[in-house]
Amino acid sequence: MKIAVIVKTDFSNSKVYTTHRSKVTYHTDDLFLSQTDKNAIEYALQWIKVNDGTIDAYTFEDGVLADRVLHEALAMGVNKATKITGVDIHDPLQSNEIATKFAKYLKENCDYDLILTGDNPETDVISAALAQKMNINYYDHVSQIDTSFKFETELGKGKIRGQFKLPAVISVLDSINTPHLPSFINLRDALETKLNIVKWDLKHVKDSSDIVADQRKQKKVIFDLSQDPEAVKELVDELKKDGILK
Amino acid sequence: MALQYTENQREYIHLAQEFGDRYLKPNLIKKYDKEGECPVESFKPAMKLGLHMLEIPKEYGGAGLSYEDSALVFEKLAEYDAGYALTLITSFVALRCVMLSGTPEQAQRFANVIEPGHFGAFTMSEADAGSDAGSVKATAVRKGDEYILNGDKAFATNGGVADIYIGIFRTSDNGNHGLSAFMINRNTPGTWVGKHEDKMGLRLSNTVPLSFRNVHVPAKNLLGREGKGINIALSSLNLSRAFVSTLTVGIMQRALDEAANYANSREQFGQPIGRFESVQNMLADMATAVETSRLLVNNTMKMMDKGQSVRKEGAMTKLYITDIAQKVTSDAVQIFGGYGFTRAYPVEKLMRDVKGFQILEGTNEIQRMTIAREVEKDYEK
Repeated sequence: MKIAVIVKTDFSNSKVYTTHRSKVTYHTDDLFLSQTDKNAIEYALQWIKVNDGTIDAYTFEDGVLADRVLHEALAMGVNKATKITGVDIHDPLQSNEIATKFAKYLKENCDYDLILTGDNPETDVISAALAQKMNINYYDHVSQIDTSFKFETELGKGKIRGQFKLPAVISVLDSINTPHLPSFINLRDALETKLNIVKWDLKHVKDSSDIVADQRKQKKVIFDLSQDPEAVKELVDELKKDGILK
Repeated sequence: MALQYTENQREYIHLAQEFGDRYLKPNLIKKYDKEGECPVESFKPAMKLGLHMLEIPKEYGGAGLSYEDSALVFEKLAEYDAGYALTLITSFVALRCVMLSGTPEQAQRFANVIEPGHFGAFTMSEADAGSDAGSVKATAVRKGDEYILNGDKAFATNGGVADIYIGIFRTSDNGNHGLSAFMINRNTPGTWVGKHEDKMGLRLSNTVPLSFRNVHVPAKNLLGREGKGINIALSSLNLSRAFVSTLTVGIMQRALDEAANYANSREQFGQPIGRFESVQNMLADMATAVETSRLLVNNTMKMMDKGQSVRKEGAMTKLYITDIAQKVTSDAVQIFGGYGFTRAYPVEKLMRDVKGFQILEGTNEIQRMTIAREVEKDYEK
């Protein structure tokens, strides 16, 4: 069994970027392997424990972030780590091209039974396109999954339960498991491991996009139960004042 | 951030943060602090990650991080609870001490006890021998291939949870030079652990008196030579002073985080209190103290990594940081006002915890004496 995991940073986490007027600034110091990708790796580890096999990690992240997420993946237990350079995973206009090239690359170089990735609204389109271009099954928003092919997918008002079929691309949510923390020994070894590099050039893709900050005002948390022992009383007072409570 | 981290350091700190977020949740720490006992079970995940052997070389089963990198990890853990971090540090400082002063075989034996997930401890203080190590009365008398230990030790950090100790005992009447260091397995007959001290702060850290009554230890458990105990104790103290300083930085960082967040959210006179100059001044001083302290610890750790003596620098680091931390944590309570004075908020605990570090590993009065002696040497003609 050969498993690939596509990993990325947790860039949709609101704690890792700030906005000023229309500009979004990512603080790369605070960007690490995304939670759902850790879930995906943990699932892959469970799978090979039962069924035997290998796990390869790939990332389309750039520079130090690519190294960082791959080191974390290696520390968790993946066997091989590859960074693909020359693309911008954060630009939705490159998604289709990335999926096309990656499908071609995988067909020529590897033959994976299962391609996993952590759910992320901004990059899931790549996973879907990849499955379509490789002509294999695609399952997204997977909220539960076991090593006997059973899975559940979250819907707005319910769940889809079923049996997935390999080969497949699966995008998982953080509810599937609790990933283990790597040991410091494994992390130190991972930091010393050489990463594979695949160089691409998407300069021929003419269109590109920029991220523009959401201009809507952020909601302020007024009542924080974990910090303020008076929060409940204050909330009740506010609700009474507004006529919601009598 | 004044201190520029390497990429590896960022990864180590992040893992420490993930560990803290998962296993050292505020409510749990509050519970442990209230109970005032060392929650041994809660250290299992830390040991699984190798936090008890962080700077120990790989050949002994450790993670092999540098002092500098290890310090950054423990600073982060101290933001969650300094007593928890202290328990882990005490263990590997004891092992490191054996590595520095004993034979590779002794170090391996000590490591074999700790590595699977047990604690180590160092014990020297006695009821009448705190700062004055020369007053140690507990004795070790050689009989054939053994030493027989007798006496009482006080304030042994990890003493009640450790499986192996390094103990300083008197082998001759030659003052400081009559002290020797021994490795002692806790289950050796005649070794008694006293009642856990009900401390003001660092309440997760285990502190007990220990009694030794005709405890037979093999002569091969003597570290170094007879009479070298004080040197071994001092090298252990140099290490632990540096690490106590890094824990203090973690406490200060937490105090600053809590105070700054509170100052931004607490409104009085129609605006956040953080907009008042008096509060801003306190926060500015706190932030400056955190950054300068972190740099100072980092420099000491770098010196230790190079194998340089930190007798003076370690003492300066501990003195400066643990003194200024009293003001930082006190100001955090001040910013919180009445709420800060209650146990509902975490800042009063930081103030209690940090007080211990002015006393542990040599009081700050002793640090001043050490620094003064070193300065005197520097200017001797």
